[in-house]
Formats: sequence, C-alpha cells, structure tokens
Amino acid sequence: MIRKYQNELIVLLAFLFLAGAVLFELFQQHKLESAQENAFGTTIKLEDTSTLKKLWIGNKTISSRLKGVESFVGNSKVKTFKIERNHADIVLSGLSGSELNTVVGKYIASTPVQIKSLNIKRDGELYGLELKCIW
Amino acid sequence: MNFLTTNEKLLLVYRDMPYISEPRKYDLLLTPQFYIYKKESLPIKYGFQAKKLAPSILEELLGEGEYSYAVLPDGDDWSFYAYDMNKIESFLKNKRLDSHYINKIYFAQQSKDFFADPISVDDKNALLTIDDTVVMLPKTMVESQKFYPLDEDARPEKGIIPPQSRSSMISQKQSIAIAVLMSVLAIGYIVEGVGIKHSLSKIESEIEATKSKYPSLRDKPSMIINNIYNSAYKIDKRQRAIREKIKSISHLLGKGSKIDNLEISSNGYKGTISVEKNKLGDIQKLAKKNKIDAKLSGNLFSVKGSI
Repeated sequence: MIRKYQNELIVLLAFLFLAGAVLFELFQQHKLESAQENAFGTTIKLEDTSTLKKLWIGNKTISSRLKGVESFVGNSKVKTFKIERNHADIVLSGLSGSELNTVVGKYIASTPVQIKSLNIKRDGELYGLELKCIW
Repeated sequence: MNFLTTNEKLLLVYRDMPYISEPRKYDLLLTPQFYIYKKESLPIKYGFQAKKLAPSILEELLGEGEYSYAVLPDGDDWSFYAYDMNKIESFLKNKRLDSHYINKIYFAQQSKDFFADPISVDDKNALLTIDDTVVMLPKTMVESQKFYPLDEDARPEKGIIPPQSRSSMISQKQSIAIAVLMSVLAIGYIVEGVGIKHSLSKIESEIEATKSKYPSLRDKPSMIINNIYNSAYKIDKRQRAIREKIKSISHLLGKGSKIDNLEISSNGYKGTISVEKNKLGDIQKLAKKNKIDAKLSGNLFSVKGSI
C-alpha cells in the first residue's frame, strides 16, 4: 500500500515539513511581536516606576530640603517643626507676604513631598501656615 | 535520469512467465514479445530529436494500442522502441505484480551482446541475437543446445523510467520535484524562524540589561511592579494637581488682594480672598481664566473646589 502511493506520500511528507516550517516561523514571529511589546512595556514601566518611586516615595533628600524652611524663616516664627523618618508636621506663624510666597513656592510646592494638608491663615498683615506632608 | 531511481531485482518479462511470488520493486527486462524495435541511421544529434520521429518511424510496425516510445543510441545509429505500458501493466497484474512495483524498464535488445549466446528463458524458449537483433525462439530451433542462464550481466546500462503509473496521480519525478520545492521553501521558513529566535534572545538579554539598571525592581514580580507604578502614578497625579491649584490661586493674589484663609488637602481646597473694590473685576476674570470656582460676597471671594 505504501509503495503504491509512495509518490503521494513523498509530497505529503514534504507538505507536512513545509507546514511545520511555516508554523515554526509563525510561532517565532508571534513570540517576537509579544517579546517586543513586552520589552517596550517593561522598559517604559521600569523607567517610569523607578522615576516616580524615587520622586515621591522614600526620597532621602526631603528632610534636608524641608529643614531649609526653618533656617529661612528663623526660629522665632517656627511653632512646630517635626520631621520624622518620612513625614513632617510644620507650623509657622508671623510670616510676611513675601516669606509666605517663598515658603510655599520654593520650599513646599517645588519639593516632592506628598502634601496631606496645607492651611494658610491671615492675621492682620502676617500669615500663619500649617503643613502636614509625607514622602 | 537514473539518479531518481536505484537498481532493483531484474525481472525478465515474457508471455509464459510464472506468477510472481515476491511483491517488490523490479526492473523489467522486456523480451521482444513486449516491444517493437527498429534501428535507423539518422543524421540526428540528440535523443529528444530522435524521439519526436519515433511514432512515424515505427508507425507501420505497430498494431492497436497506446504506445510509448524510447529512443536509444546504438553506435552511430538510433534504436527506436515502442511499447504499450497499459498492456505490460495489465499483463503483469495478471502475474500478480502491481504497476507500482515497476521501477525501470529495459529492452532485451539493449543487451544484444549478452544474448549472443542463447539464454534460457524457460523450458521451451530461449533468447538469442540473430543478425544484430534479439529474438525469442523455441529452444528446438537453436543450433547450439547449450543454454546459459539469465543473470545480472544482462542488465543494460541505461533504463527507462516507466510512463506515469495509473495507480498514482503523480509521477515519481513530479513528486520529487514538488517535494524538493516544498523542502526548499520549508528550509527558507526554518532559517527565517531561527533568525527570529536569535532576535528573541537578543530582546530577552536587552530586557535583562534594562532590569539590571533598576536593582530595587529587578527581582520583583511584574504584579508588584505594577502596584508600585500605579500607586506612585496616583500620588504623582494628585500632587501635581495640588501644586497646579496652589499656582492658580497664587495668580489671584497680589496688589489689592490678600488671602484670608486657605485649606488645601489631597481631596480639595477652600478659602477666602479679600479684594479691594476696584480690583474685583480683575480678580473675577483671573479666577475664570485659572478655572477657579470663586463666589463673590461683598469684597470677599470664596474659592472652593476638588482636586
């Protein structure tokens, strides 16, 4: 029987070989596409995660930056200045308008702390400020 | 053409041959009972040219049938053969040999030198070359009473691939051509696939290199990295919004406007701004421009919103 259809069998085997090769190539192509997608996604995600994490979570430069507030306004205007491992509780009073601008603009808004609450209250021409933040 | 086939056992084909007991491939050595032969001297150089002339040269000698032709060089002359493959196949089928067992065909005439001495075919008949032509004749008519057996020396140099067998839809030559073509294509696909595989491992090592740049994240499962990313992204978005709001509110402050109180948290903001009467219009415009929801009450602007 095999001998009778050996020509057809040769063609069939060659066809199976070709089909196998095509499937192999398609499978590799599919794997390549998902690997490229995955590589791109992984790279972007790692970069973004690392950048955002460094910026907002556990940033070790925050303490020293916040301490700049204390030295800027002077001890007399500092009611509370608690900086612990990753959070701060700061209460200032008697700030002039320009001091308030500097404290908020330079020390708070441009420092990557997570502002939990920021309260400002005017008393005559002077201002009081309360800041709770973490990092 | 012999590269497509190998030599198989030689089978002498004659009318009174016994039944074939061993079903296997054979090379047929046809006795003159199964072919028509004519030798011609023609000024022709190539076999394919001679083959075109075969039907007209043998026409007078042929009876009814569906003939195939073979032309072989014989010294300076050409040997023309006609044979009816259907008849040969059906004859062999009666002798219990299916057509797909036919490998090659030889004509006894091709081995005329071998048949110079009488070769025994069976009890009654012998093959002998007389006047340069191989004939089959009764042993009683052979002068010499010494008969030799048929052996491998009778195999001519060149065999003929039988015309397309009726049991097969495609010939061996066609099947091999198709198989070669498909195999070449398949090899092409495999080579391409292997190339892609190399690219894949390159990408994988690139991913590893990228991961090694972030040692704190490298060994973390992607789910945890996603969680870290999502939470950091959320923080980033909210804190940027808070800062944006502080910036917007600060645009409202200046000469003629002062903040009375302001509370900003991650949920929203609320506060009041005192404004001199002549600046009310300007502040209102600025609030609108900075998308701050401000409500005027006397000379006080109440600002309130979510972040």
